[in-house]
Amino acid sequence: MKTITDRRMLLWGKTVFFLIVVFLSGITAQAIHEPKGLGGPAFTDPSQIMDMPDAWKKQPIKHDSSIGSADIVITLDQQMHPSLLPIIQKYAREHNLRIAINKGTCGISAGMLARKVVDIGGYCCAPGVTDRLPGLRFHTMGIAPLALIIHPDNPINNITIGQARKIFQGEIYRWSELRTAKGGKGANLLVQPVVRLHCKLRPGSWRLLLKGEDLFSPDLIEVGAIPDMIAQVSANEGAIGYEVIWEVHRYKQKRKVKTLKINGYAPNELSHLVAGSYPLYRVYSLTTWEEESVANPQAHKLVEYLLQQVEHLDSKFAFIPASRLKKAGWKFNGDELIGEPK
Amino acid sequence: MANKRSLKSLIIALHKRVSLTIKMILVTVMVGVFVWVVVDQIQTHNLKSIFRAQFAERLSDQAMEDRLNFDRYVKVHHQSVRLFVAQKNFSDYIEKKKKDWSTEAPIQIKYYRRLPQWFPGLSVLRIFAKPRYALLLDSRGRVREVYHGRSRKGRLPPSLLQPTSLLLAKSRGQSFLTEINGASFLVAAESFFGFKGELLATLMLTSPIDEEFLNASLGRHQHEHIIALLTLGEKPQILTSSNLDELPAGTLLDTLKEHYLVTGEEFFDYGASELSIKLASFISMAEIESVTKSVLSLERKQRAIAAPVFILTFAFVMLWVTQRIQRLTQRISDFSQQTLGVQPQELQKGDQLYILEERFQRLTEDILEAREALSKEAEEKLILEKKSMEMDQKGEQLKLLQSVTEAVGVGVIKKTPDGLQAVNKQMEYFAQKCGGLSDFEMQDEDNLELSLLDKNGVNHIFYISSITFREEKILLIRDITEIKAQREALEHLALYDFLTGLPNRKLLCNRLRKAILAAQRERNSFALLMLDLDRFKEINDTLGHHIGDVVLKQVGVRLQSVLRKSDTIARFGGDEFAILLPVSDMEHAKYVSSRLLDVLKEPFTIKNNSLYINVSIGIALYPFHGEDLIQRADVAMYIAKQNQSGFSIYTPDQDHYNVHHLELTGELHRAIEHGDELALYYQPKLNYKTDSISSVEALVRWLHPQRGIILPNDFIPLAEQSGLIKPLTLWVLKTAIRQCADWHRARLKISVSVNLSARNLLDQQFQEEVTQLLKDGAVKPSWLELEIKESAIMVNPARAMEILKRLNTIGVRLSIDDFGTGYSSLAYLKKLPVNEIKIDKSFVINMAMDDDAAVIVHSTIELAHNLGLKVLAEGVESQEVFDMLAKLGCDVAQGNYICPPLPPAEFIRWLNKSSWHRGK
Repeated sequence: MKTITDRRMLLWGKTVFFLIVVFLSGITAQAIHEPKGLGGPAFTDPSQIMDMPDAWKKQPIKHDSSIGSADIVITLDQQMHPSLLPIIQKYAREHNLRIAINKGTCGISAGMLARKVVDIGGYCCAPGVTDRLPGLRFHTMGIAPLALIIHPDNPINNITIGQARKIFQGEIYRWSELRTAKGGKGANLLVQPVVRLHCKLRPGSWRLLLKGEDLFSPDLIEVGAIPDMIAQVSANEGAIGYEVIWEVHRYKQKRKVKTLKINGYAPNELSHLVAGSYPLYRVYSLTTWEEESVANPQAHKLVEYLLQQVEHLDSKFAFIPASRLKKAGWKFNGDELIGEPK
Repeated sequence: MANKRSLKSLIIALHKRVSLTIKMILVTVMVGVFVWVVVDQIQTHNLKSIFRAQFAERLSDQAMEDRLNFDRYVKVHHQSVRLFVAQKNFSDYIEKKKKDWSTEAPIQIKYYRRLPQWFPGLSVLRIFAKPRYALLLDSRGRVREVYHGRSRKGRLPPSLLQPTSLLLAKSRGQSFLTEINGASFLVAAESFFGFKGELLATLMLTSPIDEEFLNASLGRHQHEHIIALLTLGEKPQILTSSNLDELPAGTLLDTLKEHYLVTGEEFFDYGASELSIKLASFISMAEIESVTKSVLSLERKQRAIAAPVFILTFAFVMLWVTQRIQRLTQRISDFSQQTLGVQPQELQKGDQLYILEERFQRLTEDILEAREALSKEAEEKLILEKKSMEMDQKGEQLKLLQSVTEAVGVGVIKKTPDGLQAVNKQMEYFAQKCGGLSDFEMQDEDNLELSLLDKNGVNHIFYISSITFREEKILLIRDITEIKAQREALEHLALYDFLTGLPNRKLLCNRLRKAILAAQRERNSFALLMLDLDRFKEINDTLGHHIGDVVLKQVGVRLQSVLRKSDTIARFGGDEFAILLPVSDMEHAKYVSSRLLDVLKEPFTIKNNSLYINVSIGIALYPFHGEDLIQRADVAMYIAKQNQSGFSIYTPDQDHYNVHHLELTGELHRAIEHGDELALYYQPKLNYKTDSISSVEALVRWLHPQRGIILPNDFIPLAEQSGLIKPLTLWVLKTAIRQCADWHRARLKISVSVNLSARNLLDQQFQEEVTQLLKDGAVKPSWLELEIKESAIMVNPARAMEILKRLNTIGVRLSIDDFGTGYSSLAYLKKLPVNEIKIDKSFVINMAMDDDAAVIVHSTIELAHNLGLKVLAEGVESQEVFDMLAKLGCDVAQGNYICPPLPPAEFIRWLNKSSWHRGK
């Protein structure tokens, strides 16, 4: 014979159990619906070296005649250029060296390295297969978070990586399909993805979001330059794009954009990226020639020096140096970062 | 040099001759031109800056769009090659050729000018990228076939005909920009695989990055700005541009920035580009200049319209200003002429402003000149006064000005080591007061007046003051004897009566105020006496004002003779005097009043005329009678005059200004107006001869609702003082006449007598009013008798005579009341048109006991009879008196013995019962 109290207790127990089941189902459903395998690889296999003709292999490093005599010739990508330039110039003064510095892109670095006209090449992406030339060694300087950026008036502050992928795929095409931090609906605006699908032969960067360009929404706006990305997002209330924190910071006076948290982690909270919780980032590397015939010892020393100096870069660059990544369990092959922490 | 001088003189001449308006317009035009030029320069600069900024902004936006287009066009190559390879005709062709290409035979590249089989149709190419070259490579990466279209096949770089594995790797999956044999190329490749996944062929699309490529990427050939690709390096230069005619390849960027606005220099960060290039937008400065010029031209036109309007407006304003200047100039001239007496000089030619300046300058000079003259005069005066006291040659003695020395008698003061030492006492005092003459230490506030007697005994008053003049302390000594005398004379005129030399009302009031303060301080009393000469007007009227003035002077002297020095006697005007007796009490005031009355008893002998002057004195005392002593003494004086008592002391009861009297006056006014509180009582008059009542005296009673019956003595004075006596008399007359009429209608032939006041005898309309009342009441004038007090006639005998004569002419009987109390002589009465005299009751009542009274009554009766007048004795209170009067031959008797005053009804009852009526 059960008492009324027992019956009540039983009813409460059933209710609590039901709620737990519903909650877990939700999480499971969320996990099930999270697109799997959409993100591309972050790194390439360092053992895959580009096959080059013997003539090329024998070809020495020959600086461009327009540069004149230089102890070291460096070409830097446009993102590492502003952070490393003053350090390199200081090094040159201190060591009485003439260092020629070219500002370019990953492609320009790859081209100049392929033509063997520079001692050091700078990349803002992890090296692709075509970048791995015989005798070339990659030294990862560090990584920087790639932030999802939206219009400042957009009330959405946080999305999951799955939602981000659906947005760029065009599966979420209205902001009202998302929830604000207070639980309300997002703005009733069409989502306008803005992308810069650069360095298609290299891993990481935008490929961490979606591995191939065919996965991106047919409605996206594709831009070719960083300021165009910032301009497009800041001009369109429904736009979403991506860029590193430093570039957002660089154009903040002219163009206002807001960075989104991904899975609850803000891009400028670097510890989450170090811990592997924040999913999007770029890899910054410098190269040196290893073979004796083309190696420049001064270039090696400079790179070693830069590896130490990047540990003290200004916070505005939101730069995580390789040394910190090593400590956090990121995988390295020599100086080159080749894998995320487990 | 001579030319310069003549030009200068010409300018000066023009400056003087040309009017202000024209000059100002010329200046405005010149300034306007200058401002125009400056504004134009600034406007041009500003407009250029604005347009440059505007163009730069617009160009920046355009540059972004161009970058997007270029980027899209580049990427389309990659997508195109993927699409082309996926076509069926491509796979069919490769399937067909794969056997042929597998041989090791030397390769003979096949060139196509027209579309090869493995290429899509023209309709597809129009939509997708149209490559300049399409290279078909076999499975081993060897070029087998080439489509070159309109391009010459020879321009294809050899490296492209033998592509490296790196080139193939980099161009697969993306549109790859690279440098091939010194030229920039886009390469996009896609491989074709067999069913087993084996590589069968690769299609490579390539285009040189040149003007054609650039224009194709932008989708246009002509545009307002030029897009160019810049190669980077130490000196950036044009790689290719959308308009090579204007911006040819190889042109250095630095040389272009002068003629072109360059913007949008952003990295083409494609990531698949090995080319160090930037895309930039150029716009010709000439084009910006052209737009600027067109706007500037419009703005200049607007200014060209505004300028004449401004100048015209300015001209009008200047004309107005010039007119105002001319008016101002005229005013200055008038001022100089009228105030300073300076005739304006004719000026040389010049404009209005010049003339104004000149006139003003002259005015300033004239004023300064006048000021200088005044200053000089003042200085001379100062020096003169300074010299009134100066050291002698040795510097040992201080000499006084001759006039001073003469006045003082001794003019030398010796100087000693201790200072100056005066020789005589006056100068000792002088020196002492000056605080030491030796160092002139006398302070400004130490001004003093010094009164000194000269050797002739004449008093001189010196005003000594110290002043600082040009940092020098000097003493000024002025003889102010005359000024002082004049001032004192003025003060005397203001405070003293010019006729008698006695203090006037102002001075007395002043001393009265001081006396009040002193009495308050000392806690004592003082008295104020108000004096009024009786019948003084008569003297003036009969003997003339000059005699009256002499009388007043002598009265003043006599009054002064009995007063103390501390007392103040003042003439208040007319025949009124006031005497202030400080520290005085009631007894002392009475004593002084008696003395004053005594001193005036003696006749005044003026030009052989002996004049007797009586005076009435009112006394008021502080603090007993308050602070308004003048008014209180005046009231008392009036009472004394009324009572002919010589002097009277103020009592509030007599003061119609006191609160009680004011209340009573108001009530009396109301009573007369309504008439319901007033009543007439009638007292019969017994005719000795007929032994009958032939007449009654109407006596007014005030039946006050609160105060009871008020007798005439208690309110008639109030009525006289307040001016209510006239309406009261008229009310009494009207009522009495009505009563008389009633009686006569009732066949009771009784005449009525009514008392008149002195005021009635001054009223010019009184006779007419009496006539009207008699007419209204239908009463014969002979039935009305008017009784006039002797004293009332004497207030203004002439006027009284005139009024009485008028009344007499209408037939009204007249009687002199209270005879014997006044000062009129029977001889005077003879002139009056009266019928009867009433002997005052004071004599009649006492005649039984007082022989003198009896004699007076007897004499009066006899005398009156001799003058043909009837005699009525009032105040008959006893049988004895009644009989005595009968024996003395008195005509009529009136008194309580016969009948007291009674209301009309009672009177009729009494009359009906009375034996007198029946001829007892």
